[in-house]
Amino acid sequence: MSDPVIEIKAVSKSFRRNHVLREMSLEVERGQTFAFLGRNGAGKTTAIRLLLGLLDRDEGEIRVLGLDPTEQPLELRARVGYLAEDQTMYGWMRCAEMLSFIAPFYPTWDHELALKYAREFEVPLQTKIKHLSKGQNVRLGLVLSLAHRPELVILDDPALGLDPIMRKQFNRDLITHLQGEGRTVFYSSHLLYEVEPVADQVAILDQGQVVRQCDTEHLRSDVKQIMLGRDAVSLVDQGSILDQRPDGPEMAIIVEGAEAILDKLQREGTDHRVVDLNLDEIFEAYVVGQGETEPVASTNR
Amino acid sequence: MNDLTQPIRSIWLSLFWKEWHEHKWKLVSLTALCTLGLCLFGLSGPHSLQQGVHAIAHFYAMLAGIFLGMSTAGRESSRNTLPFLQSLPVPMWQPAAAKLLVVLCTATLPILALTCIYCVWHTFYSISGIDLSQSNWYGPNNKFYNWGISNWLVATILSSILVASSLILWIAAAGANRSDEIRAGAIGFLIVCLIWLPLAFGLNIADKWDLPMLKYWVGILFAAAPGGVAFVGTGYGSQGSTDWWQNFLPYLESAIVGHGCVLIWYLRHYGKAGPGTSRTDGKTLALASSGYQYLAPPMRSQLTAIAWKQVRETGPLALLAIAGVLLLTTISHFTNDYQVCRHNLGETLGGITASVCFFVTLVTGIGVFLEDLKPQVDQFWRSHPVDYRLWFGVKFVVGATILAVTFGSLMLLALLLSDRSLFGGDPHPATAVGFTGLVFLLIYTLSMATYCILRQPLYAAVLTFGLLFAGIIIPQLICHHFFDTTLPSQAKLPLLLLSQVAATFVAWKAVKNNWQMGEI
Amino acid sequence: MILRIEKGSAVPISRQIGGQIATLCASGKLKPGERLPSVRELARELAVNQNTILRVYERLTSGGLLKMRHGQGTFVSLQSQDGSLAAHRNRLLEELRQIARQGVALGLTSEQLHELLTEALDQLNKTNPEPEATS
Repeated sequence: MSDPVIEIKAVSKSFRRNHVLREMSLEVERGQTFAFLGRNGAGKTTAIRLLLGLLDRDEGEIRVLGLDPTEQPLELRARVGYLAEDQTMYGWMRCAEMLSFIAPFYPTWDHELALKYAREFEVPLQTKIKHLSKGQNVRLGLVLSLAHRPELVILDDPALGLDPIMRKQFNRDLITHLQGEGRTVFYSSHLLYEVEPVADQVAILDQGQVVRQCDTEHLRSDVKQIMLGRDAVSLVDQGSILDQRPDGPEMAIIVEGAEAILDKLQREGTDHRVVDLNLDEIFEAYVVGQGETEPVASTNR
Repeated sequence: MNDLTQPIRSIWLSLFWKEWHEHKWKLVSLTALCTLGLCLFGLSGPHSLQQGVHAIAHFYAMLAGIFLGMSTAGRESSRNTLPFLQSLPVPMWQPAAAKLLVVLCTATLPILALTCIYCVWHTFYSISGIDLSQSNWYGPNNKFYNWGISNWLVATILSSILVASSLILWIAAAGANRSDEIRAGAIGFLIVCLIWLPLAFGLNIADKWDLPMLKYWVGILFAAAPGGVAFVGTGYGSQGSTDWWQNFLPYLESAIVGHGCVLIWYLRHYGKAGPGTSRTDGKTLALASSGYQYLAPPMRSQLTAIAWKQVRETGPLALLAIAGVLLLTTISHFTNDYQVCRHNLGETLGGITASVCFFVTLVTGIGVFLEDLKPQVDQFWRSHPVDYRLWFGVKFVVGATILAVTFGSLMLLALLLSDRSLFGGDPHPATAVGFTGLVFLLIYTLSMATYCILRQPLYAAVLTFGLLFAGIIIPQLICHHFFDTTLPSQAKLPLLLLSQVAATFVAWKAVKNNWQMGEI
Repeated sequence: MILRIEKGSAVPISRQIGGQIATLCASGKLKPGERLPSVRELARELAVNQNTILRVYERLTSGGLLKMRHGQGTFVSLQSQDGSLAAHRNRLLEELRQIARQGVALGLTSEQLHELLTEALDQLNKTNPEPEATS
């Protein structure tokens, strides 16, 4: 059953004294649309560069499509479509020239498909790349990363620089062209509400580690905010509390594994209320939540 | 580390602080080039010291003028920092002025350092009892002999500084807002040639029809032309009459007015029509709407694709070089007072081709990986299944071939015109041609390797020049000091080949492992 | 069939879609036996993951609201009215509970809350003489 397309095992990477990734692990299964979430500077781009062999890892193991990116970067890149964050291409080339130029590097390049995508994405083929708008630039990058029918598409924050209309169009393209054809999509983003309708799975990266990897849908039912009396907080396992803050006589805690905790509270007969959270709030709880600090400390907030 | 606990107080200080940080290492490297160069000359004996000053001062003026001018004009756009600069709430002329001022200081200080070094040597030799005013080079045969040594020194240094400054100003103005340094330099170079051409033409007509007034006025215009100060200095200023100041004044006025206009143009235009502003103009939109239809077939192979790209990148520079050589030949042909005939034309063409070839080869070598190794573009091509061996190999070979074809054909033309008298004195013309070709290949490879490591065109140029210079002088010094002979001519070829292999290897490694010395 | 997705809402997307389809069935805008857009079509239309749509359809099918006929598509089941009523009861109860909680927090008594509900129903009857039979 398990057919991982991307496997990252305990990978560390640091630049001089700056530890960007610390023993990060991740697994993406075939056919999934996988959203890689993290704040700016959390290490998303570094992780993605490691996946393509653009950087060497310090420790750990990486397999992408069963290949080691450092040892077989060319074979790997030929089967992957990649769009870099804020991708800069040769400004003097016209879009059409860029497509013709890149074509011979991919054995599976489909020029008809490239033309079809270029039309669908409204890429002005006869315009020089340096004259493209930001959105057009991203869409040209998308054509370049899709026209060879890659098994795996890695997109580094593609929504950056797209306006809301284009983002919706982009999500549609993602769904029809990639999900519809069973391709695996791994993409990073910081726009969580854009990610939720599209992604099968999300992983949250914080300070160089994946703090949660989960089904999007499951994450929503698994992480809840519970309002309960201060003395009842001790009933909840400290490890599963992501964030806690006092609210009058009560405490508002955000927990993972909500179902089990709610069961327990029910059995104990504790008075409590459950609040559904949106993805933004869940993300915030993981990334800036104060799980380990004492309630006393958090009153200062 | 500069911890800014307090904000910088004034806009100007702030701008100067930025420019200083961007130029301090340029200053250091240029100073090192000048001073170490002179030391090498000095080591080979007291008699070459003055020759060293002369050669370095002249060459430095060209090198600093072109490369500092290039970087003044193109660096901000090349690093995508121009939009940021434009967004500052100060008029654009202020950063432009601060930049120019710092660049001019950067150009001037190394030459002053050179002077200091010379003075030290001079004093040292004077104490040791060697009279440098009677040296081999600066002897009674030298045309500067009757100037007196201190006058000669001041004139040399001053003209070097003035020529460099004038070139910087012209190239910075001509190439302002181009997308990168190489383009800025190319445009600047072309414009410099185009300005010289009519002046040279005028001078020629004046000579031919014996029109002293025309000659006088063209001479005055020359003072305003890029680097024209040098012509004025040697051609007109040296008339040793008593009222030289009266004679000199019009040239000075012309130079000040001319360069003042260029300065104003530069200050008004720098950063105004940046590459980013033309983005969504009507033309682009019209193209955009009509352009969905056509898509050329894919290139047949990776090799063709990379070669096509390289031709598109190096080609314009080669065409520009041809235009430049032809222009310069015409200029020089008309300004020289020798008899106008085919034979002389050929020799002039040959000489100019050789000297232009040096600079163009240097620039081309730097330009081969200029765009590919810009941080973001570097990510782009490396993220595709591109075999870096093919990428490097094809780019290297295609770049070298374009240069060889360009300058080869110019040289061939020169040979045919001059009835093969270019190598008249050489018993083995074919060997000489081959050797020269190898030298230029080495310059090309060296500049490529230094750029790949340093990622900064100016440093790459300085380092290449330094390495070439050291490579010429040091083996001779070694032979001179340890074996007491001159360098045997048989040793030159192996040395050259060895350097070639080493330079290629370094460039290859730098591209493969993405070595980078970083932002110095 | 027009559905509206509210991004960033605390209600998960799948529940939003499921709830809206149930409402459409209950209000009779989707008639028993009517064919729903395919998973692919709806996913494209809403720009929502196909698996999400598929799960919604499956859940509604198992709840008896929809019927999936292999190779033909998804249809509103003939017993949808009963099925959706049951589903709606739960949803309404949940929403009323939230409102009641707010009321209690404001210090309203049970009677005052009942009064408010009656008043709301009266207003609805005035502006809309033919109230929707089911809700």
